[in-house]
Amino acid sequence: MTEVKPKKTVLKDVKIFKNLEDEIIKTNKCCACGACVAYCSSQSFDVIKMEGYTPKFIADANVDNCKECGLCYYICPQTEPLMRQINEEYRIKDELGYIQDVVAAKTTDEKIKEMGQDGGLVTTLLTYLFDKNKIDAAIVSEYDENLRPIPKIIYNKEELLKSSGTRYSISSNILPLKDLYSIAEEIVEKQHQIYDINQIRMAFVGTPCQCRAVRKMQLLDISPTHVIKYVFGLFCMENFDYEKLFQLVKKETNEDPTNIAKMNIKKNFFITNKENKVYEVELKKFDDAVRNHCHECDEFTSRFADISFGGSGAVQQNSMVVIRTEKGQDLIRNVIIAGYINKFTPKKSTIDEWKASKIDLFRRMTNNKIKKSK
Amino acid sequence: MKNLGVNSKSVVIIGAGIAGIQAALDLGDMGIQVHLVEKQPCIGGRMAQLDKTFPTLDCSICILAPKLSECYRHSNITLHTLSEVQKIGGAVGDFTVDVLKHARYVKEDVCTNCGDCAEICPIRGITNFFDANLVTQSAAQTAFPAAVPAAYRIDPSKCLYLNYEICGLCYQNCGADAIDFTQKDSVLSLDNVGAIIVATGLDLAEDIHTLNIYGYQKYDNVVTAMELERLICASGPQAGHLSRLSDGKHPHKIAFLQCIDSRTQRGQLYCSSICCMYTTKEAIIAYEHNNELESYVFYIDMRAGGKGFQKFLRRGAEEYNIKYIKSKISHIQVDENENPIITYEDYETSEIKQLTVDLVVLATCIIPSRGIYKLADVLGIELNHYDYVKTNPFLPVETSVEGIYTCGCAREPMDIPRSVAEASGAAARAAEVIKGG
Repeated sequence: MTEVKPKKTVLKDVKIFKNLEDEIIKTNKCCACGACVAYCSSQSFDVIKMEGYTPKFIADANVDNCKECGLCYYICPQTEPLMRQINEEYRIKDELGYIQDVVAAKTTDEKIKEMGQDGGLVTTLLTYLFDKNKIDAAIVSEYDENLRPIPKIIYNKEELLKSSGTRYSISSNILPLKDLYSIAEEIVEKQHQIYDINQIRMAFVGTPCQCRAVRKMQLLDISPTHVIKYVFGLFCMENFDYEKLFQLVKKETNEDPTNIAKMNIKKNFFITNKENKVYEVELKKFDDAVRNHCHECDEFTSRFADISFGGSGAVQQNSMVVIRTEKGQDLIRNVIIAGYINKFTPKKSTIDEWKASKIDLFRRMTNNKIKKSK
Repeated sequence: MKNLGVNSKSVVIIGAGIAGIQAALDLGDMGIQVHLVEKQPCIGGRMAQLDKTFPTLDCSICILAPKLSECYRHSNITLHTLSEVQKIGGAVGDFTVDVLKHARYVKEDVCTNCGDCAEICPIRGITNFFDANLVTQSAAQTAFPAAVPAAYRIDPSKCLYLNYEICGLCYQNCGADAIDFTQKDSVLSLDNVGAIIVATGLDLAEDIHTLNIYGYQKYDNVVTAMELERLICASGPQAGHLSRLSDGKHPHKIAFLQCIDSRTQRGQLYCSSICCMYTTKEAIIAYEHNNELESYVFYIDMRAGGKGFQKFLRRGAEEYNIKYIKSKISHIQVDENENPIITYEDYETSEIKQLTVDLVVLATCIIPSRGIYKLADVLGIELNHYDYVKTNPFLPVETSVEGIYTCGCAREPMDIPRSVAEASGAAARAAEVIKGG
């Protein structure tokens, strides 16, 4: 047992992890991004951990270790504090957020084309960033052998291909940042020397709620998200609970997760098994597996990202790209110039009409999501 | 030295770099009360950042540190860090000076400088000016371990408690109970100030220009001279093992580019005066770290006027493998390994040539301290057309206002020995006013 010293504090009425448990986690609003645990562990406070998809006190004895700083409550993407400030910071006024430009594009790399979803853009952009030495590592998610998405840190473009494609259940993408030192060691081993752990540069790929958590943390400049230089958001209609999803998949297709090669949602749920047999199942049938927090979410297009990506509204193997920040604009421009991706040019309408129609589509889809939530 | 008597009038010195410190020590030793006002949280200025000084290659901080602590504990010198002169009134012999003191949020006399606050502070990524912004720190910060005063400070622009009333971890973790969030910015009014010395020093061209054509900030392996100074310094971010920022490899070929932003219509029209010397100094230090190093100095004219300076350059060429190339730089690109490729015109042959190196160091121009405009307004002193403090050529430490003196790089670009000499000159002129000379 560690000795418990009386705490001295300057704080008054700050909400702490206990409140987070009561208000968010126990009411099923937690999106399992892992921000609270990543922060707390990176500070070596030894208080909370991720158990499956739920943040929890490590043990009853660790409850007293809580420093009661309140940061976990503040940075949680599902709580109210800081929302006004990040909305201001990222110029968000409505359900679509600030849109600097909309383009459609696809990768020029044959290998990525094969493996990726739609236009394979996220993979291509990360490849570019690794090629040009703009990042040391990237956080993505990857399937394990049971098709359970797990967060993964990759250190070079060769590791990237495994993580191409969309995953439909959640992985706690912020969580791996909790141990920056081991990330630094891997970078030194696989890439190059770094002289300061705070100089690590990473790209982050995540769902709207995860991007929101990253931006909340970045607003406060706190560890460990200060190493994230690029935030790539994904369009997200809803996310499935892993266990429930594969129970339903089993029921509808009689396939085990180990025998499934690819899943894709367009109008319906398409499931391809390893013998290349394609099942088409109505999306509605999976409604019971949707994670509860998605019912409260009002984001579809990842408003807080530098660039958001999605398949909705894209044709001919392209991906839709919503550029939101100056940094995102620069990156897309450079990637096009470097020939990593090809930009789609609409033929039937002018570029402005095309953009307006796409933005309109995003707005309708977002409103559908909000309506469905209610 | 014995105090020569007690005086009721004091002197305010603005800027606590080597010039301000020297003037303060001179006056203090004469028994004159000095208020040393510094904008930064610690004193020492630019000299504290340097690795070595030319032409003797002495360790810079080793010379300076005793002066810093002497300043701190001198009975006649009062230090005001994180402070700015806000208003003055009166005239020579009887100025009133209002000093705005920003809150440190750490009790200076209680703090033990242990760093527990910095360790627990969750904030990361605030760049440290002292290390030429090459390393980052938390919101509880100190510029360098030997900083004077030896106390941490909390950056109010980032602190989570001061902005959002959360966190408070440093307060919890401080064993000495030195954190004090109740501190407020305050104005200190000083009466009966006999004279004022302006020693605000310098900033550098990279503070105002992006230096795009040299690829600075675009390419990791293009650094400024001040950055190299920190990188090569044993107490700097790389602990004295010079390596490239792009891949951590040790450079074997370094190019030093002279007259960056100086002597040009696009930047400053004047010569920065010390770059030829400090470049050779840096090349020599780099060679001492790695005896296989080749250095290339791209210069327009060698301007090394001073006792022993030419000899110093010759020593560089003969003993330290430095090649001096009289040339004009066109632009810099990088190859696939991020090695900078310099395109230049060789003045000897009038040919356009290219040279690939591992690291490029830009000898950036000295510019007047960015705070001088506001300060000149407050003090009512005139600036010359380069924005340095205007002085009479035959009275080089006197400004346009009687009783306000200047020294060091606030007046024009100069090296450390000259700054020290001028500081003593300014101190003597100020003492004249106090002693009724």
